[in-house]
Amino acid sequence: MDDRDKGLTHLFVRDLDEIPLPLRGEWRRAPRGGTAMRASRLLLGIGALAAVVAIALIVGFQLNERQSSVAGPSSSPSPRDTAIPVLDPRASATPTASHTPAATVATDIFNDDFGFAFREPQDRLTFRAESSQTRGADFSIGGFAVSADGRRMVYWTEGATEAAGAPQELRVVSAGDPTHSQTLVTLKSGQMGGGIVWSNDAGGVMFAVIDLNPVPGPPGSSAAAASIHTVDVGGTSLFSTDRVIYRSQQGGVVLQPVAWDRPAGVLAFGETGEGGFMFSYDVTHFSGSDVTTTRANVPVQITMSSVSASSDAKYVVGIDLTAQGFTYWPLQTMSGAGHHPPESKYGMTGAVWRPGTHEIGFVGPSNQFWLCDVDHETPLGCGRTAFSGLPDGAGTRAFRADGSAVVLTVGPSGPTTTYLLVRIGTDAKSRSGDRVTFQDNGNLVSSVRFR
Amino acid sequence: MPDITPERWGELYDRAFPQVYRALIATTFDRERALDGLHDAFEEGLRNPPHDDRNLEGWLYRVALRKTRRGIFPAQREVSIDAGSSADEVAAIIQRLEVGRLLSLLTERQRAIVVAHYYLGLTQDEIAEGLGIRRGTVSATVSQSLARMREEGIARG
Repeated sequence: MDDRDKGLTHLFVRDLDEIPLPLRGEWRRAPRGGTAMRASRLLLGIGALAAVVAIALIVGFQLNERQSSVAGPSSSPSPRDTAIPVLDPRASATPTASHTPAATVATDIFNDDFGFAFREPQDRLTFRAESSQTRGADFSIGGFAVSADGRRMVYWTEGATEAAGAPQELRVVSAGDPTHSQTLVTLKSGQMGGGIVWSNDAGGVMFAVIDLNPVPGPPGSSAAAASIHTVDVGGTSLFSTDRVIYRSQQGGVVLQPVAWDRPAGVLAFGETGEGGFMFSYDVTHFSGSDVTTTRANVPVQITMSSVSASSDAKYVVGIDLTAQGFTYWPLQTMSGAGHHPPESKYGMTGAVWRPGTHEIGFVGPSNQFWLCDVDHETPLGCGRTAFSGLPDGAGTRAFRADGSAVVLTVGPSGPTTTYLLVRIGTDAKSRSGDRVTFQDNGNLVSSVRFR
Repeated sequence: MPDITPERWGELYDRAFPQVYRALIATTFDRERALDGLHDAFEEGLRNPPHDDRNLEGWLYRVALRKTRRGIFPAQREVSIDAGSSADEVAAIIQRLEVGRLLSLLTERQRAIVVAHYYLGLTQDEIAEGLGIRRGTVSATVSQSLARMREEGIARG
């Protein structure tokens, strides 16, 4: 792992070093039979459990005797059932003093033409409508990507691990009809699916494939361990075949798709080591049957996981740890370190493209949500405040698929996460800042569009 | 390199304990298993110390993981960070960490690989050998965790 690959190591060390240590007296135990010790602990646990169950049965019986004559049973709601949308009392705090929103109800902000995708434990992904806690779909998947309009999703099926053995498939499904998926690509044995992005016209998908058994070869030879592919995706039918665009010439390199401007015949992907910094930004041009890829060294420390493209695939943004802020550049060329607008250094709590625009959303100073319009940057900057009144520690999670609202996380994370859905007007005079809080056990990762 | 005496082993163990304990917590989400594994690894080191004191953290981690899997629950249950260890204050701390979000979505084996690589600094070959898996699996797991972090905005800023 070289210097450019130490980004994630820094993150892990920073975070895991916060785990408290046990008291010094617990660090060692006199030599003992570990299994015997655990067995005795288990027996004690079983005894204690039996006692608790016995007491619970007695108490429960007595309570039941009392309640049966007073009232019917009251169900004990699950954690998800308790997550009832509520209006945030700060709903009146808007950035434009001339515009104070009228009393707003949650249903005015939620729009059930849209929903959210949640990552759940055990490699599951679920959908729900914005205002509902009910899950509408539940997938067991590897990686996934939602199209720019939010209407479709491509995902890797589980499998291809040593334990499972089944070949992985790349599938496409409509958010509005999640029960019917179609297979786009089936990987070979010994291959595993990597990152995925949709093309800007939703007519194709770019994806990475990882070779579990890279071909050994002499030093410096082509031992391809990863490759970039494309496949076209029709509206109702599938056409085109899996096309290999690029193969890494060096084992251990991770290729990460960034964006595909399909009408313009240009796509881009990044190369990273295992540590997470993008050390090469690669652009592929299509001209007829010719495919030309140009690699460019990245001279600054941009975390690969932070790199994303605008919905039209014209611009790319990433977090630059060297500059302590975000940086953006046109898809087709990354000259030097990209471009840092003055406000970019405020964007360390998230830099996310607003769909349908060239605006980068982030939480800026004074707990305000900012939008940086890269088409209208001046020497003084590119940003405007979209709304204010955010609690400390708020972080940008995802825009609604049409860009009309944004979801932020608020408060400490835990088994249940609190989210804030905030409306954003389409122009400076439109009403922005109306908001609603909701909670969910899942980890919200994307907006989807059902209708 | 002289043989490691029991006294020397005790010093080395105490020095490595904090990092290996935290790595085991991040892998197992279970304080008891982490401590049991480390205690067993300490005893293993007393009986059969490693050949030298280079990368002792990696040695302890591998042995502790192996020991904890040989406990009285041969197929160790998968402890969920969301539910299974709610009584453990350590679980609550992990949930507050940015990387905790990623770890909570991985299987225990995936966590073992990612933590060994990013926190303990083991090479892919060392992880593959220590955990008894193919190097390609290590590489793919590391790569997939990067993609997962990208999906979920971890390290986005």
